[in-house]
Amino acid sequence: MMYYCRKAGGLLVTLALVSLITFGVFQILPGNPAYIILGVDADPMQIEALEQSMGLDKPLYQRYFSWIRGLFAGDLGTSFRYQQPVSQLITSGLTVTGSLAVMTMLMTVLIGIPAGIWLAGHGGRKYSVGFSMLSQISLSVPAFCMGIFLINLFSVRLKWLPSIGYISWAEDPAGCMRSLLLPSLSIALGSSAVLIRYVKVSVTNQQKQDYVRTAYSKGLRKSKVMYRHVVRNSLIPVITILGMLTADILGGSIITENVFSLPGIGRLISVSISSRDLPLLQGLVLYLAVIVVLCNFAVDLVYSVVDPRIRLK
Amino acid sequence: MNSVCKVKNFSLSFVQDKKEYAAVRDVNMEIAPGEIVALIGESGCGKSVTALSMIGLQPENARVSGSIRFGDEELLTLNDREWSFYRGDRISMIFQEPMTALNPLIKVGKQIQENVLLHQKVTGEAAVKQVLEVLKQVGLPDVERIYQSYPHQLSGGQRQRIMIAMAFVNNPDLLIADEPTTALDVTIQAQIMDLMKKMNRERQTAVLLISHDLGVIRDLCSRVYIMYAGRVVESGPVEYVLKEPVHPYTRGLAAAIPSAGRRGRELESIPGTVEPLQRRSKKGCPFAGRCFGAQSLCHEETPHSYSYRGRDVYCHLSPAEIEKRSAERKADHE
Amino acid sequence: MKKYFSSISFCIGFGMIALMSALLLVSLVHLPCEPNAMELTNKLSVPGAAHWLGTDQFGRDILSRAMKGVQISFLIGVLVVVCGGAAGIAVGSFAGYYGGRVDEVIMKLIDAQMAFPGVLLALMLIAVFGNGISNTVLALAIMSVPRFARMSRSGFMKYRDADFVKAEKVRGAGGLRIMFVHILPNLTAELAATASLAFAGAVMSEAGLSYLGMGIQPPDPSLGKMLSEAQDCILRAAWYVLIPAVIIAVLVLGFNLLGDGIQEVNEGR
Repeated sequence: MMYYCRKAGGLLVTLALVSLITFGVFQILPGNPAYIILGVDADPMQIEALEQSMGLDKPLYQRYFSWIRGLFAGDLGTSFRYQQPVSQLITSGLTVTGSLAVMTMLMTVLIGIPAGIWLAGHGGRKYSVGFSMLSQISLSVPAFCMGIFLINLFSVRLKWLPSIGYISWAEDPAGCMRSLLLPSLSIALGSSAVLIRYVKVSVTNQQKQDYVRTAYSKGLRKSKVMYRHVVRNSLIPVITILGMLTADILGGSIITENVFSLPGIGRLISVSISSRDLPLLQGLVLYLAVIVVLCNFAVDLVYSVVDPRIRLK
Repeated sequence: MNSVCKVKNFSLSFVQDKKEYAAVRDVNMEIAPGEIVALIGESGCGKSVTALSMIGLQPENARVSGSIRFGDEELLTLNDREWSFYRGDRISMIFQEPMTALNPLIKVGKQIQENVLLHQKVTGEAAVKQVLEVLKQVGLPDVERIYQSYPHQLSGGQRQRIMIAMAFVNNPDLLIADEPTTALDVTIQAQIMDLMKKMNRERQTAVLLISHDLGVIRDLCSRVYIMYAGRVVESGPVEYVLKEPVHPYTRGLAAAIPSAGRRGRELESIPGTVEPLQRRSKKGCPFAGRCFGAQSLCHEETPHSYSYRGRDVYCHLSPAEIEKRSAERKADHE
Repeated sequence: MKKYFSSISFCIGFGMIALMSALLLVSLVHLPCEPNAMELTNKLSVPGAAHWLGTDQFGRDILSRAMKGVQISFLIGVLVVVCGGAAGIAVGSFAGYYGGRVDEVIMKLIDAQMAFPGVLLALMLIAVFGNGISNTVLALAIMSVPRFARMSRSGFMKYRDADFVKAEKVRGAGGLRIMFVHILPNLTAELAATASLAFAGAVMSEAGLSYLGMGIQPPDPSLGKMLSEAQDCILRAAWYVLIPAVIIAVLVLGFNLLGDGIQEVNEGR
C-alpha cells in the first residue's frame, strides 16, 4: 500500500510541475501576448478586449489557478484560429492521434517482442552485427524521413496505399486502417528497433539465470522453457521501455502527422504555432505531457501487478 | 551389481577458441538402486560437470565421450526431446543455490505442480494434492500457504526444501544433489541432510551427493568416489575409504578434517593447489605434482586401478609403499 | 583513442562523419553555385553536368543547397552540444555529487521535462521565442539538458566516494574544485559518447522542426526544409527527396554509431 501512496504522490508532484512548466513558458513571452496574437497594427479596443478575455489584467498566480480550474472543468479557453473551444478541438484531434498511437504501439510490440526473443534464441554473433546495423539505421532515419521514403515506395511507385489524408473509423474502418498504415509504420520502424534491442538483452540475461537450469532439469523442452519461464521474466523490464516508447511515439506523431496530413494533435500543434494560437497550443502541450506522465504511472502500476516481488513489498 | 546408473570411461572437455581442455577423464562410476553415493573433490575437479552430464545439462561448449547408461538406455546420445522423458521424472537434480533456482514470478506450488503435470497423466487437482503431500513430507509447515507463496517470501532453507520436494515429487530413480547445503546456514544444513536421507529411504531413490563436507558424507553415504583434477583417484565404501584412506590425495583429504580422536593435533593440509584446466598435463597421474610419493613414472603414465580391501585405488604405488613414504615424510618434518 | 577503432560501430560512424566533415570543409571553401540563386528556366532539372544533383522547383542548385544545409546542421549540432552540455553537466554534477535534497529536486524537474515528448518542448519554446537559428539552438539545447544531466549525475555519483576524492577533501579542496578539476576528467569518455548521441539528436530535431516550417527560416537552406519542399514535387522528381533524406540519415547515423561505439568500448563489451 505504501508503494502505491508513494507512487501516487510522485504522480501529483510531476503533474503539478508539468502544468507549471507549460504555464510558465507562455508567461515569458517577450512583449504583450495580445499584440503577438493580433499583430502590432491591431486596434487598441481589440487588444483591450482580448486582454480582458485572456485575463491578462490579473496577477500571475490568479491566472494560473483559473487556468487549472478551467482544466478540471474541461474548459481550456477558446482557440483564436478556429473560434472553437480548445477542449473540443483536442478531443477531435485525439481520436486521430490516439488511433495512430495505438496502431503504432501494436506494430512496435508485434515486431519488437517476437524479433527480440528470436534474436536472443538464435542470435549468436552470426546475426548480431547485421542486425545491429539494421537497427541503427532504422533508429537514425527520422520518422518523417522514413515516412517520405514509404510514401515514395508504396504510394508513388507501387500505388498500393493512399499517401496522405485521413479516413475516420466510423466512415470506413478498412480505409481508416489503410490511411494509418504508412504513418504508423514509419514511426514503428524506429521504435521497434529500440524494443528489439531491449527484449534481446533482457531475454539473453534471463537465459543465464539459475531457474532456467531448474526448468530444464524438470524435463521441459527448450521451447517450453522459453515461453513458460524465460519470456515472462524478461518482459518485466521491457514494460518500462514500453512506457518510454509511448512518449517517443507521441513525439514522433507530431511531425509524422504533418507528413501524411493527418488531422491529429500534431497537425493542430503546427497550425497553432504558425497562427500564434496560444490558448490552443498551451492546451495541446499540456494534454500531451499529461498523457505521457499518466502512461508512465500506468507502467509503474502494471509493473507492480506483474512482478510479485514489488507487489508484496 | 544391479545399477541405476553406470558411468564408463566418461570424459568431458571444454572447447574454447578452437582448443580443447580436458576437464574430466576416464571416469568410471556406478550407483545402485536406493543407495546414497558421494562424489568428493576440490572445486574445479570436474565433479559438477560430471553430475550435470548425467542429466544432460553440461555447458554447451562441453564435448563428452564414453558412456553413461541409465538402466538400459545410453544417456550421452539422447536429444532434447528424448531427454525430456528422463529429466524431472526418472532423474532429477537439486542445485547449490536455492535463492536463485526457483522462478521468481511463479508460486512455488505451481512450480512443483508443473513437474507433476509434465510427467504424470493426472488432473490439475490431483496434481495439487500430490504437491501438498510432498510439501508436508519435506517438513514444511502450513503447506496450503506455502503452496501460494512466491520464492522471495521464503527463507533459504525453505526454498531448498521446495527444491527437494520438486526433485522427489515424481519418485525418480536417481537424484543428483550438487552441494545442496553449501549456500545454507550451518544450523539448516543438518536438517536438509536428514531430510535427504529420509526422502531417500521413503521413496527408494538413489542419490548422488556432491559435497566436500566429509562429516556429512560419513553419516549419510554408503560409498564414495574421490576425484582429483578430472580423474577418480579412489573409490569404495565410505567406512574404508575415509577411515583408512590409501591414495595419497585421500589421505591428505581425510587428515584435513577435524575429528574428536585427533583433538589437540594440528590439522594437515595438502601443499600446493589444483592446476587450472589450461595448464594440466595430459599424461601421468593428476596428483603427481602435489604428491609426497611421486616418482618419475607418476609424471609419465596414468596409473591403473587396483583393488585393496574393498576399494579401488588409482596409484602406481602399493599401499605398503604409500604407507612407507608417508612415514618417511612425517619423520622428515619432525 | 586507438582502442575505439576495435569497435565496428565506431569505425563506420567515424567514416560517415569524416565524409560529412569533408563535405562541410569543401562547402566552406567553395560552393558550386549560389544556394539561393534561382534559374527560373531550369526547374527540376535532373542531375547532370551543370547541376550535379539537379535543381529544385525554383531552379536552385540542390548540391549547393544541401552543402549549405550541412553547414547549418553542423553549426546547430555543435552549439546545442556545447550549450546543452554545459548546462546539463552543471545541473547533473551538483545532483550527483551532493545527492540528497538537491538531487531529488533536480531529478524531479528533469523527469517533468522528460514528460514533453520529442520535439514538443522545442516547438513550444520556438512558439514563444520565435524562429531563427539562435532560438532554435536555445530550444534544442534545453531539450538536450536531461541527457547530459542524467549522464553526469550517475558519473559523479560513482566517483563522489572514490579514494582520490576523499584524499582531496582531506587536503581541504573545495567542492567545485573537486567536481570539475578532479572528477570531471574521469568522465571524458562517457561525455564524448553522450555528446555524440546528443549531436545526432540535435541534427534530427532541427531537421524535424524546419520540416514543419519552424526554426531555420527561408531562404536559408536547411535539410529539413529541403525535405518538405521536395515532398511537394515527389511525383515529378523523386530523386530530389532522397538527397536531403539521405544526408540527414547519414549525419544522424554517423553520430549515433560513433556514440554507441564509444559506449561499447567503455563498457568493455
